Amino acid sequence: MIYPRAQPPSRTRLGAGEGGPKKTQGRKKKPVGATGVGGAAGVPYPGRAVKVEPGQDPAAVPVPPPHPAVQAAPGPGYLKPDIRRARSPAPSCRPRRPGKAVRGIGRLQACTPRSPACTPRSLLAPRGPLLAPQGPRSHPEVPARTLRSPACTQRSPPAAEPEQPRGSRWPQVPVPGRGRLRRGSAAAGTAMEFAELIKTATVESVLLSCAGLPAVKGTLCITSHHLLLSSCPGGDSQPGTVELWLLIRNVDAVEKRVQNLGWYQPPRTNGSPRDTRLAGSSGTITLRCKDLKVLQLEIPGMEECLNIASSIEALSSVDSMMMMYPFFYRPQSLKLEEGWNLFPLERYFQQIASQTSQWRLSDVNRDFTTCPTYPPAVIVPAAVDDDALRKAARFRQGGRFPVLSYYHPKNGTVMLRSSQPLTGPNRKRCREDEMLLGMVLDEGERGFIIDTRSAQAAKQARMTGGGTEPKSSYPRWRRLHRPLERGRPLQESFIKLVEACNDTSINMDRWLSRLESCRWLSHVKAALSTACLAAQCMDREEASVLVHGAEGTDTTLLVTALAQVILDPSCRTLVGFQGLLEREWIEAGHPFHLRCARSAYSHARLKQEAPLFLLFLDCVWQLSRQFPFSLEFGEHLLLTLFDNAYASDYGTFLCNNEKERCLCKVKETTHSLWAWLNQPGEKKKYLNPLYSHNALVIWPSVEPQSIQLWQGLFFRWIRSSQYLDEAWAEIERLVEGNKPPVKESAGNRLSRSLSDPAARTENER
Amino acid sequence: MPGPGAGPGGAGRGGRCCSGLPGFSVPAPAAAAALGPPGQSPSAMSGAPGGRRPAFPGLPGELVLEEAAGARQRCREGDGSVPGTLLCTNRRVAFLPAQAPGSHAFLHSEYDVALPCIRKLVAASSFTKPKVLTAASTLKFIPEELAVFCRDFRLLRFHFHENGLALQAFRVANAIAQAREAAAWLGDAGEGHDGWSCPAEAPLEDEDEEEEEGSAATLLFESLRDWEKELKRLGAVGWRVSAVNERFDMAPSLPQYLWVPSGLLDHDLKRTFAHFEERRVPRLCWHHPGGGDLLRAAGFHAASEPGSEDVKCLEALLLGGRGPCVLADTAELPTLADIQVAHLKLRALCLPGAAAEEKWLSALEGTRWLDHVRTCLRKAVEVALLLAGRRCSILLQEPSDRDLNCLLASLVQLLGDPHTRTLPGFQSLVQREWVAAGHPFPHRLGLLRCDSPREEAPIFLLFLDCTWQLVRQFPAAFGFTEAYLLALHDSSFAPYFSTFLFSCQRQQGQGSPHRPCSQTYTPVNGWRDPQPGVPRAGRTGSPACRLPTVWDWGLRYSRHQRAQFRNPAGAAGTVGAPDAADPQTPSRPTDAWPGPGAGNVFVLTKGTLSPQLFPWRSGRPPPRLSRWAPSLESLGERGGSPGGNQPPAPPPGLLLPCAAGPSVRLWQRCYLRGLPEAQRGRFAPSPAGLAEELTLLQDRLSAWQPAGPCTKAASSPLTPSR
Repeated sequence: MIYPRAQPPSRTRLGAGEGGPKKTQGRKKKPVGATGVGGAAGVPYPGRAVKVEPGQDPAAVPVPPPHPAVQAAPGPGYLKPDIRRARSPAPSCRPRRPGKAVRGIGRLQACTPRSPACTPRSLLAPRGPLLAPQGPRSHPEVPARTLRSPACTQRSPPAAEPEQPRGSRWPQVPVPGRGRLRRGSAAAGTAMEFAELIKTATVESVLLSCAGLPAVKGTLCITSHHLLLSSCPGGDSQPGTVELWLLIRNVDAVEKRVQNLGWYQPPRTNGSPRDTRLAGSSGTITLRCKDLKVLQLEIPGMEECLNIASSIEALSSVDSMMMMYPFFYRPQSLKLEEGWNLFPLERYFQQIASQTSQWRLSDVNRDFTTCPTYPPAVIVPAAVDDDALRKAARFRQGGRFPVLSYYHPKNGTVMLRSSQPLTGPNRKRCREDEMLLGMVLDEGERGFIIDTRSAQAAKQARMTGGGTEPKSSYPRWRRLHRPLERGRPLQESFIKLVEACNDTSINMDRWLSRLESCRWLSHVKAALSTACLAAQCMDREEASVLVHGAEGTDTTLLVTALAQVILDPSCRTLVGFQGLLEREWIEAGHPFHLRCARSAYSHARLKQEAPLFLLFLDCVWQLSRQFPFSLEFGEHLLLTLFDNAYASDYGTFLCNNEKERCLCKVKETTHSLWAWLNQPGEKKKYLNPLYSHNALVIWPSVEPQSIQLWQGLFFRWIRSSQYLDEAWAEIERLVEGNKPPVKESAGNRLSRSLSDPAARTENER
Repeated sequence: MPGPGAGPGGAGRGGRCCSGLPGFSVPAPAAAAALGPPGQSPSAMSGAPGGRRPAFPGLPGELVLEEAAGARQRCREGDGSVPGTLLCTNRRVAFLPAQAPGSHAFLHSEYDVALPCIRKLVAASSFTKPKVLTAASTLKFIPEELAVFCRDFRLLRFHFHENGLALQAFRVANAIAQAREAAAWLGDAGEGHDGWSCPAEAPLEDEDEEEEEGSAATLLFESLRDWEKELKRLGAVGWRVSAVNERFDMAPSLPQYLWVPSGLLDHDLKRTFAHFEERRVPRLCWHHPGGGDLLRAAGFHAASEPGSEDVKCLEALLLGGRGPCVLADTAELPTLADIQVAHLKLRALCLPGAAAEEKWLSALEGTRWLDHVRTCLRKAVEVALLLAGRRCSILLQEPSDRDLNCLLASLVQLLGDPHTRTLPGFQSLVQREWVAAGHPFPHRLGLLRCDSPREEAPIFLLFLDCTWQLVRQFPAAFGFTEAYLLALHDSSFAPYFSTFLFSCQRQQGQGSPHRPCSQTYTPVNGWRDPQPGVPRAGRTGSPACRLPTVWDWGLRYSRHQRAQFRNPAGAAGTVGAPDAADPQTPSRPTDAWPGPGAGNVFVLTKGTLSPQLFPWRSGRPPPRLSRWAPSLESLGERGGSPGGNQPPAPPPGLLLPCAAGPSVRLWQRCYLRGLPEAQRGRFAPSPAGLAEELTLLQDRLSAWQPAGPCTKAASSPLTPSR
């Protein structure tokens, strides 16, 4: 009921992944009304209850036997019974300190010799780069986070994970699925692993409450990836209603409160001690989700409460990529390969090639050796050969040499992006890099380099090997510094804002100054105005632009993507926007897995989390508010994207870059979000009824007065938007009513009559 | 080239919105005259030196004092400008675009500003620093630009070309400064709204029927029939219209007709007047279909000591066997001075460059204007909830009953009565609760020159802001739009209308005989004077001398603008009409009253009810029976804390706005009009709109070209009317 999903995970051959907690559920005698584990026939929408087939007993769900391939694997098996018994019966009530615990594991692992028996395990859950993709440079001491809860870390060393290879950045890791391992085996294997983490699978009469909705009582059930709550309003004989269907990955923080005070009095009362316990001791779990929703579960029984809490905690912090739900999610309406190749870079290149021959598509990075975070194909100046690219890549951090990000059809200027040059304290130079950038500009042209750091920070970066392009080596490029916040300050700003929005104290008198002190809106403003600057350089100054910050994977992408929304009308359509995200965020190597690992509620130590993508969505929302007719999609799409970036059924936002996606076979074994979004029934929800094609550049206002808090996101679960939704529905109805005569003709007329080059190209496309 | 000096805001500032199509602002004065509406010769206006401009359709008695042809008005977007003529008359500063887009609306809202509405006049030149012009300090240099800061938050900027305009620019600037001083409306107390009376003009030919309908449905509450009609609509049994104040002799500031309990004879009613401040007795404002009544009254007169007969009458008036009476005073609301200070601060903040970029939000908070909006909304929600939940009568009591009571009474009705959320319904509401009820508009809006500034307090603007918040929170519940509220906001400063020019009904019809025939206002007669062209002094006040009401939107707003007043998505009443069949919502049954039956008097303070005695009742106050427990403050404040108790579902038909900090917003489209940058996008024309504009221009062009000798392609400035 709370988690709006359109596709209940349907039971497929791989349903074992869902029916994981075999052992613990087996304890239960009474059938649960409906667990909906895999048999849910309906779609739980908020506010609409969904009937689930009765009599679906999770205990009766057979877990398929492990795949023969796995059974045949060498070694004593992938799950030792003693490991399962080793579960700690007393979970700690303290909030977990994952950082500490993980470091402990790391040390254990470091001294563990690699044993051949472990090989199949590593196949099942490939760790290596997927678990610690940040590499030794950033966190050498944290090799991996295992999927075990800290309670499991007491195990004997032989049961621990294979040694984390150290020193080399991209260690040789057995790639899953290469011949030996298939989907079924992974599912069966992980099901067992998840079973370990689930201490109590079902609890009866749990009270679920959530802001804005009436509280419901029902049976809570934990599966390997979901938290389900089904209620039986009509008694046990009636089919249950799924009230909650929460992806556990979505849980950002678990807070528990146990009330058992005063129940340790001597059992002089008539009731037995057991009754007393049942009646009295209870616990409340507050689940704070990554999509900013807050749920409260009141669970009878202290032990159950603690078990549930620690199970959720453990399951939600499973960090192994292959354990992610997208690898198990198999909706019936979609095909696996659908949507993965909707926006090939080749097609984008063809659009450019039809207008200029100065660019070529290079596959210098086809094996990800030139730049591990770039996609296999990149668009580069035609005059620069692959060897020069390789050399230029060595001069840029992470190998991110300048590549084309956007070609402005109106005047043929381009936007490039890269990472910082590795000039270092000795002011190193790289002829190839200079040539590459020189090739972008025609004779006598000048370009702009927009550095997303302050001049001071850029200078300081020289000390650590980075730096900027010196004027002497790049005489035709002029540098502009526009400091944009990223990393920890941005995440902290996000956390502060969410905290302020959730402050339910009556005294909201100081709301505005509190909002100001969160500084979120100034980040939005800075991002928008930097993007405007880039767009202005291209559209007004007719100069090409190179955007980079330090790594070139965060603020750089924010600026290039936003500038394209401002400049290019085709990026403002639903499909075009998806293509933009695919090209400028996903393929361009924004580390989604790292940046979106935790959201605003997490108590965990901040590592690499930063809401860059959310900031981008917020900026697009500002554009959509300032130009209500010019974007084909509405707020709903932006919200969906935010949700999916942090926790998703789909593989689109998994991993940090294309290389990792390749290793994990994301495109082969998960579903694409775009395939789901572009289904006709689904697509309708995301369209802006007021859209009419606007071929012009949309210059937003970046004054502080114009930047608004995105209430639809930050207050989504706090305040009902019922009245606004009703109004939108009404608008939609009105627009539908008179669409053919008014809107279309006007739009066409405009395209005909305005002699705007952008309009013409748009029509030609 | 965006230099390094361009700050973060520089990028946006340099940018131009999509409306700023460069080719569109080529002046074509020659074409303008030909394209003007037929029948207007350029020399129609007397006293107009030079005739190369479209006719200036002045108000009767209006004289053009100075004019500067070839001035340009800067567009909103900052870098566009419209060529035309700047006029200074004895009533207003008007700008005549070379090609008036909707020239039939001769009081075009976009292009003119009444002299009293000018707050500050600044002349600027590139040689000297800007100078504020007053009548006393005249201009010593040739202005290149003239900025007119208006009280309604508009900022009009006129630009003069260098070539040959020097003298005209100088003269027109000085003339405006002088005229502004001279033209101040002396007020209802004084005699001379000499210049402002009864304009005579040919009726507008193209008034569309739909609009007539709209304003005809507006009840002006100047006649008995209006009061009776409205009482019937409310279905308030047990109430009648009393004509006891028909000659304004009982209470000069009250309307002629009052809604009083049927059981109370006029003879008895008369006994009660003396016991209230300004003799403003309790009377019905609104009757909830569930049985509750909303009354308003001034404070109890401090020195009055009613005799036993009087007490009987008073209690019949207040209690009348209708259940308990709750007194809701305005102590929690901001004082008039608070509101005025907040408004001044807000106005100062909304000027260009007033606040540092990073400090905008806290500066906005510092004005406390939004605080006041919240307080008013919260109080209105309290009263509306109480009224919807229980069968009682609530007496709004303010010492004067002329300011915050107006605001509160109308807000409560907006929350509870779907009819008032339609356009005619809202106009009737303003007419009844503000105009007829005697809100001293001229004093409060500061339109009087020699008035003590202490009386100024824009309560009405605060009410409009509160209404805007409701419109924003419940977009589908209102039949009118933000554009309508904006028009009403601006019109309250335009002294061409009778609506906001008087402090009470008595002044409006001062000395005039009772007009039994004047029913609802018929705009057919709009501006027509039976004795055309004879300006009459206001004091003679013959019925002939009638200014139009502000509800004749056709006078100032083009059809296109008026079309924007109506909310197409606002199916008024869909949010739910109060259910008359089921008066008590189940959540708050009537029998939940703490006291033993009717006759109780309570006072509502901070969301709780406590027993109270009327001041004339001596003796010990009854023991506190109970507090009215459900904390109203939390209602609507938050949507329920996680796991917390759910707010009860609002009774049907009742809007419960959220008055918490994040939900109350700045009315940007109104207050930030002086900051063109902040308005980008808000007024961004849609491509469809531009396309329409373009075809219109092309049509005009093709219609004109065969006739006109000029071969130059005429183009037009974009109408900045959207």
